[in-house]
Amino acid sequence: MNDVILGMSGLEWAYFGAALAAIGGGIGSAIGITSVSNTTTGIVAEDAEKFGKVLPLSAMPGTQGIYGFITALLVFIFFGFFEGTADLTAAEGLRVFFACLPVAILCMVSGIYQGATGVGAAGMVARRDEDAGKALIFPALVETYAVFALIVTILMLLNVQG
Amino acid sequence: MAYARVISDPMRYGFAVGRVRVLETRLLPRSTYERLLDAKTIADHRRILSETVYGGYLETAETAGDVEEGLDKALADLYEDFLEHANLPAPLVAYFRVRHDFENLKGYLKAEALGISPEVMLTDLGSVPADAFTGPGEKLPERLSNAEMRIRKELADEDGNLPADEIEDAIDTELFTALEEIAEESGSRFLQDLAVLEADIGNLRAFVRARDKSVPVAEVERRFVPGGSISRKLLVSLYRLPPAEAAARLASKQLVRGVDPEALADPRRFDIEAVRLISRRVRSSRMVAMGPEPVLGYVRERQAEVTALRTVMIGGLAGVPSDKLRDHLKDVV
Repeated sequence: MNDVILGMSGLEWAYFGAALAAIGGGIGSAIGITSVSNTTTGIVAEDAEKFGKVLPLSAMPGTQGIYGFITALLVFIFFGFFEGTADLTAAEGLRVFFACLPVAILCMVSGIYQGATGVGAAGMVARRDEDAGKALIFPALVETYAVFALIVTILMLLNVQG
Repeated sequence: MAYARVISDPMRYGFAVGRVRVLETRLLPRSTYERLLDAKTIADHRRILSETVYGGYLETAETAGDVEEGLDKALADLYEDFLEHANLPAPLVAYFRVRHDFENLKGYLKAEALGISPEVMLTDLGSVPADAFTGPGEKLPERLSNAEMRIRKELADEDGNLPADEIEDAIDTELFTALEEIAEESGSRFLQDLAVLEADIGNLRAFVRARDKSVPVAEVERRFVPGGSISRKLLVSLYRLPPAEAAARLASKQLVRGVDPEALADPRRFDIEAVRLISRRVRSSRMVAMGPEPVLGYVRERQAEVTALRTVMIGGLAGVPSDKLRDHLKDVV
């Protein structure tokens, strides 16, 4: 395929989209986990028994990075990158790129904000052990939108593939 | 800016805030103060506090001096732990330390005015070591040495002697000016609000005390400090009114909403209300999930806790009736 859009071929656009999804999700998770973990390590430093209760809060923003990784993997699987049979027009490649954007952008933003919510939730657990279950719910609400983004990305990729 | 804080604040303050969230649960509850008030001896006080953070500091305390020393050490360790190692910006740390510097300056000047040794009036809780006030040569930082110079220029007589009873007001003016500058420099809205509140409280305290001592109008203005939300001009004009009317007009201010107007005419009652008003503002910092506010709020609450313990324990040793001590603590802790 020789056709290009903005100087990039279909395969390059698809690579670009996959990379962006992995990078966006990874950045969101890294910042989110660091935010919560800074607080939870402070909590555990004063009360080691809370380790088990605050660990899920620290781990929760990690899912966005996983969604980014899944997206990149799906691009490679759906379009034959592993088999070496990938063949996309520039327009198809651009569609793959757009399909990756929901995960790339939303996972980055939601990872960061899930971290911010996790900080507040960790404060709840620090005060009252018995609120550990409730505290998990609030950051989980932010997760909803990362899941929606992943679903939309998968549907769009299936559409391009189909 | 707000978006950047979502990322930067947890990185900078996360660990300290996490610790504070746990330590807040270990602040002394009201029931501990009640038990302390009911306790008969210093040994009972030590026993009640033995399982708290103060246990180690007071385990050998027998006299008022031991209690002072133990509580000062507790406060010094708190400052060391949270103010020096919590990665807080320098102006925020200075906001807490500087009041001890001015307390030391006051002690030093008062000792000079009274012709006594200053060592007993100095602590190591400030940002400047206590010996900087007594050692040879000029060791004080610019802010303090300038304040000292201004006070001497304003108060000293022809022979350079200072009137002991006027030093307190002069130090207050310098302190509140410094607090306002530091709060402004910090960029923290919480500290800026707190500085304004503290200046207002300082002015109202000066107002109530001046009224109680029937200080002439001409003298009262210089007792008011800058930086409050109620202007000095307004305070002076209120001072000219009959006491009941002035108290009623002051009570209508947002700042003292809920305070009984009679408390604004009684220095002892006002002191209690003043601590309550500041505590209320400090407690609001708990509502901030992340940032310097929870750490600053915790340090301020521990300061209040130390003050309350000092009142109960030293008051108890001095034989002050528990009802009177309970009054002092009302709504403060």
